Amino acid sequence: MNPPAAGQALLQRWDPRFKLLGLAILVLAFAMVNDPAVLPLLLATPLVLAWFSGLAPGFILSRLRYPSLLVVLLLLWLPLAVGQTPWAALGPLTVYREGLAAALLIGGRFLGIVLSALIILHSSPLTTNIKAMRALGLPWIMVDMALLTLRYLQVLGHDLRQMRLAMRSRGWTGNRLGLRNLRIIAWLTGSLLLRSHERADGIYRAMRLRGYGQPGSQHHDFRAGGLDYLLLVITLAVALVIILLSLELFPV
Amino acid sequence: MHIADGILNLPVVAGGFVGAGAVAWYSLDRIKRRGDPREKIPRAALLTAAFFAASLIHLPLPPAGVHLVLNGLLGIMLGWFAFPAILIGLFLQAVMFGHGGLTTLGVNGLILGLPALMAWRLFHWQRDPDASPWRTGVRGMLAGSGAMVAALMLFLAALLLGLPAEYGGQASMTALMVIIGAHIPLIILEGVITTFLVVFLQRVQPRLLEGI
Repeated sequence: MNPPAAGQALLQRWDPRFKLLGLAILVLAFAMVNDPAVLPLLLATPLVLAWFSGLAPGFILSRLRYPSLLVVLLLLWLPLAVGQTPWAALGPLTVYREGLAAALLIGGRFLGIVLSALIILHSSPLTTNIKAMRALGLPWIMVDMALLTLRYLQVLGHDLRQMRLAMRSRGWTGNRLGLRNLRIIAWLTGSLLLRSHERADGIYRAMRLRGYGQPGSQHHDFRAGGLDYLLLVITLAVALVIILLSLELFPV
Repeated sequence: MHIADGILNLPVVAGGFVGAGAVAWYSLDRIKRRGDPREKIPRAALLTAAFFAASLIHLPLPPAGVHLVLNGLLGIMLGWFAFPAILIGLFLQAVMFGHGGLTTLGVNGLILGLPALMAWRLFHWQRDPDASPWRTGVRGMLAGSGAMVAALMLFLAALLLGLPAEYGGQASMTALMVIIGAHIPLIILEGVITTFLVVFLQRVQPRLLEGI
């Protein structure tokens, strides 16, 4: 049995407002987990989500390329430094049971939250997610800023690449950390800030011409049906089970 | 200087969202009190995008290199828009690159956003816009390095509050000292780069230093 095709997948058809609510509830439930025995259920959740997302596994895994340095350091440090009960000896180092459990918890929660968020947020375009946040009550100033930032991120990233290419073609390598190089990097950053500032006024005039700020320009067209409510209830139920297990009301 | 998902306990995560929500609400209230903010939004958004792009510049600091944060300069240039801009930047980083975290968005927003507002106040406190570049540079150094020092203190406080008490002890204190030591070069770098940047902007387009 193959995962559903992109565009037809259940998560892609779910109302983005309900999807964001479901994600918020789910990741907060994951953050409450303090018992390593609950981790299999926590890690099974993103697997189920991935199945119904229509996203290729390679795409999901490629997004995990940048695990937080802090998480990696904690995972290495905790088993060796925290606890009193020796579990294993690695040459001169001792692995402690309590530290290992703590590292498993942090690693499991990290993977569960990051994978669930990646899958849910990438099952709709980012602009749709931001509009759904607006529909859920995010202040319009932040929504407009976020949409414009997203729109011009690629443009300014392209500008930056071109400016650096021009610098390299003139012989700048930037592989040493001297005062001269720092000044050049500062000027490069300053030029980028100047370009974006000058571009902003033209963008504002163009936006006004297209009706920005007029009544009705903030309306959304999200419509929820029975399936959207059902999926939210299922997500709530999963979150509730995880919370109850974490509170040790139902020991596993 | 991001705290990833899964590290902090729930009370600190929830406290982070409440705190960041309150500061964001207050910032937006102050923005609205200064008249219709629509004209300023494209400027704030494009500068946010520029800061986001600039934060991807890699500096060859041994052993692995660093990326600039520039939250001090962001505060100087964006004023009350700085806190919402940092929340947006952190959200986009979490979604697009997997950096930072979603459950820690509030905590990370406070770690970087409060020092940005502090740097803004520090830089503009009794400032003469016609002061010499040297004086402006000193203010830039204080704002840039000061914002990083404040961010580091908040980062450590969040870790101390958010990690379970049983992780404490001598080993934890050693680990915190290592974190502080590892950030000292970045504090100096942020100060130097902010100094060069404010001097550059004062010469080329001083209006940019007055905020938006």
